[in-house]
Amino acid sequence: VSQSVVPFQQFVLKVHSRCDLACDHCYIYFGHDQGWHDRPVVMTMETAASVAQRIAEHAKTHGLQQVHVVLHGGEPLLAGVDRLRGITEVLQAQLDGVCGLDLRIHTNGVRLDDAFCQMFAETGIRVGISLDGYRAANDLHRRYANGRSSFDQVIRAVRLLSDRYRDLYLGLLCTIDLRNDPVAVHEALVALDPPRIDYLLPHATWDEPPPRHGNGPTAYADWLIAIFDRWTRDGKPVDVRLFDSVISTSNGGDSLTEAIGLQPSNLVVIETDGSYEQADSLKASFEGAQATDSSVFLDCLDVVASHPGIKARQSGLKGLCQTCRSCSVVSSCGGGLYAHRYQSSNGFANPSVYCADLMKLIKHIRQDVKTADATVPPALHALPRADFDSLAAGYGGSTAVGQLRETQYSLIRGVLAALVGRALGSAGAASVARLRLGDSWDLLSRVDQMRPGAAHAVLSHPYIRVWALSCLERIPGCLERTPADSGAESLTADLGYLGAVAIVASIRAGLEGSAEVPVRAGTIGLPTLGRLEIGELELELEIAVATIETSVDKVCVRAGQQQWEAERVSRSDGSVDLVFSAAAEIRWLPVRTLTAPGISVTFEDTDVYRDCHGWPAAPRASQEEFAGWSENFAAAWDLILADFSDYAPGLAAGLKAVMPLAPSSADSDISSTARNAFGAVAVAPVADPATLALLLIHEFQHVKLGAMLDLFELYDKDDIRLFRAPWRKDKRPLEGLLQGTYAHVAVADFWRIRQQVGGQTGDAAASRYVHWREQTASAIEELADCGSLTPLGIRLNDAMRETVSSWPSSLADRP
Amino acid sequence: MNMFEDDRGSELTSDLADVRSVPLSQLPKSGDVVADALQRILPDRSALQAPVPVAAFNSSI
Repeated sequence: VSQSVVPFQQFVLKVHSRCDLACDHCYIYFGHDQGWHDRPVVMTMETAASVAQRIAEHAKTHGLQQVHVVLHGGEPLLAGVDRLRGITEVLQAQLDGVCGLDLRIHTNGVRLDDAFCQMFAETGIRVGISLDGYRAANDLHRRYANGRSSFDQVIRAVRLLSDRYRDLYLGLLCTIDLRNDPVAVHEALVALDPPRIDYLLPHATWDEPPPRHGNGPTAYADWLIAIFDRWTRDGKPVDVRLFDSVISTSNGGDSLTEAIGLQPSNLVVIETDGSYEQADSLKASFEGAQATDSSVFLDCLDVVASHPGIKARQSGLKGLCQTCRSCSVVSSCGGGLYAHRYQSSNGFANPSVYCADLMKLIKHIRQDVKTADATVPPALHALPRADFDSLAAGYGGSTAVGQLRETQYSLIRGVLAALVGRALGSAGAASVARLRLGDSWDLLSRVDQMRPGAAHAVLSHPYIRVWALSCLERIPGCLERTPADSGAESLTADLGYLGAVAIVASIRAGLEGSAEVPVRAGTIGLPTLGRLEIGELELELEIAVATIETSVDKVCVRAGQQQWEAERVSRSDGSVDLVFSAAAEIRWLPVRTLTAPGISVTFEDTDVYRDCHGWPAAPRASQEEFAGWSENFAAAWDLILADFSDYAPGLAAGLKAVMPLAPSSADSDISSTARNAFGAVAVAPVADPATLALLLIHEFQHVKLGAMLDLFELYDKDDIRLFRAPWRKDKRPLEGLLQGTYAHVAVADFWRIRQQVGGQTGDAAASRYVHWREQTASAIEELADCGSLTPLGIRLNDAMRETVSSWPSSLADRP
Repeated sequence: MNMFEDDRGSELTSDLADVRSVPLSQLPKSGDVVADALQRILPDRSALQAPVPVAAFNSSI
């Protein structure tokens, strides 16, 4: 018979027939076939020896290059370390010199420990674990007989593999339950960093259709499509066998699973007593469906390969029912899993009970593949006209400013990618290797996929773009203008800051990671978290470098021979802090926050790239100084809410940081905005809340307009003329005039409202209002006459004019 | 960086690509998108790289 059979290449060995869990969706213990009662509890060594002989015999007969053996159950770990090692050694001995042996074990994981893993490492057994997603999802079915959850034990097992025995980690198997949130299930599994995820449809037949929980006739497709869309959006961070199989078969390739596809089955099951059986899944059909009435003690494998049941799963298209044979997606579907076609009235000559689901899923994936092949570019940013107009009038609510904020986030992602691409291509290879820039980028990308919110939090930090641009300006060939010559070492250290960005994202995400970060002047900058002062290091190379490693709740910093550990603490407001041991001879300067009702901004006196505002940044504020800032900010915000409420929603949506400037020696208040630091406003200490309110409102105008200028072309950049600005002695370039005018719309507005307080303060404010209204109106006409505004720039200028024109030109009638 | 007003009339469309949902790992391969982002921030903005101070009660931008 040997030449007329399809040889087996996958052997599922039932090494133990009992299980320590009582999962109520298990086809073995809760299916039709209850044959496990009569099986030996564990496979004996005598049986294992016969199994090994049969497999070797079969491999020789058919000239197989490799066979795959899966140690299975029940729960195979119940067989114990010694028995599993014994079975493995028998297989290896028999197949040595015959063919390759790929050994795997599939377990529920609850008993997995170091002893098992060490044995697996020695014998080359790789491990797959069953897990149905997050805790509540897993607890739906995967419980002990007494109802207790197995989740913690399974997670411990998975972490053991992912952390210490990574090479053994095959992946996770998840049985679908529609009651679970698909994307949450997927995210929970991806967070465990498996090489592969296998989503399984629960076993069902036409006699016993799967539960759909009122979710419609394609509920399983919808569940899987939600995951597929997330998976593709995230850049397919992990292999998903079902999806990969549909993609492969859609492109004419092989399926990677027996669940779909037309490839002949080459799998046989061998029970603890040595009997051969067909696929386990048939146990879901009817009692004895999987039986072959043959055994390793009596029959060679060719005998069972000739069994009609096995043959039926090897006949490809012609083995399918007429409905399937004429179906447009049959090359991917293959009729689905054989067991799922069963109906007691006519056996297996049916489409799958999941036919509608498979059809929808396959069509969806094929459409996605087709679309991806067409390399459709990303969508373009857009701003509703109403939002543009509200911003143009000088205001802009939370939605409008929120959209600007998201545009900036999109822009910094592109800029970072450009930086990384150019740094890896241009910077010195030794520097790149020393600082592990590629690894840092990979870490950041991984966090971005697994915890996008954590990546967003750090990439939205105002000074990330400042840092990125400072690097880009110095990478040779990156800019048209000649790079500033600030030294290769400085550039290398600046590029290394990517490690700090990545490790902060990892810390925020609570994910494991490691990165090299530069140490400059004895300081490590961790954007959005703070600054770590560790003291000067002895230089081994041209720059000082520290290594930071993160885990779920710890952060370890190593520099030279020294090492410090910190607890990672998640605050109730979603922020993350590091708590170093009080005994550590280092100084941790965490970022502090200014808060008031409806707003929370960082008090940014630690960021290493913050000193970009044209005025010197203040050093770290003392607690007393910070308390003064907090008090002033809260009072200023109260004033904004009470009197300048049109500005409050935009500020709350877009102001992310107040950066203290060094006190001004001049007799005036100082504030500043940096074009590349969206969301940050720099302010020198001020005497009173009203002044701070004005400075925040004024500077935030620059923040908004800067983002609008990134989004839209508002003027002709080729116009290099200088223009008269009423408030300056020197002439200004067009963008400067536009910025100043937009800011002074708010300044005039501030005084217009402020004069209403009356008294001397009101009198002074009234005078300033008249002054600034006139100057702003004059600047608007200067812009209108310049001839270099684009249609959208004219729209902006017209809106500013309308705002200013609606205010009185004088306050002669003021009481 | 030409802006155009789209046909729907309710939105102003930028020519800046929205790459928020493009995985970071794939972005460096998206040459045009990345080049566009870079171009947008790189023009010599000497006018704005100078300090933009304001003396609040004697504003002098």
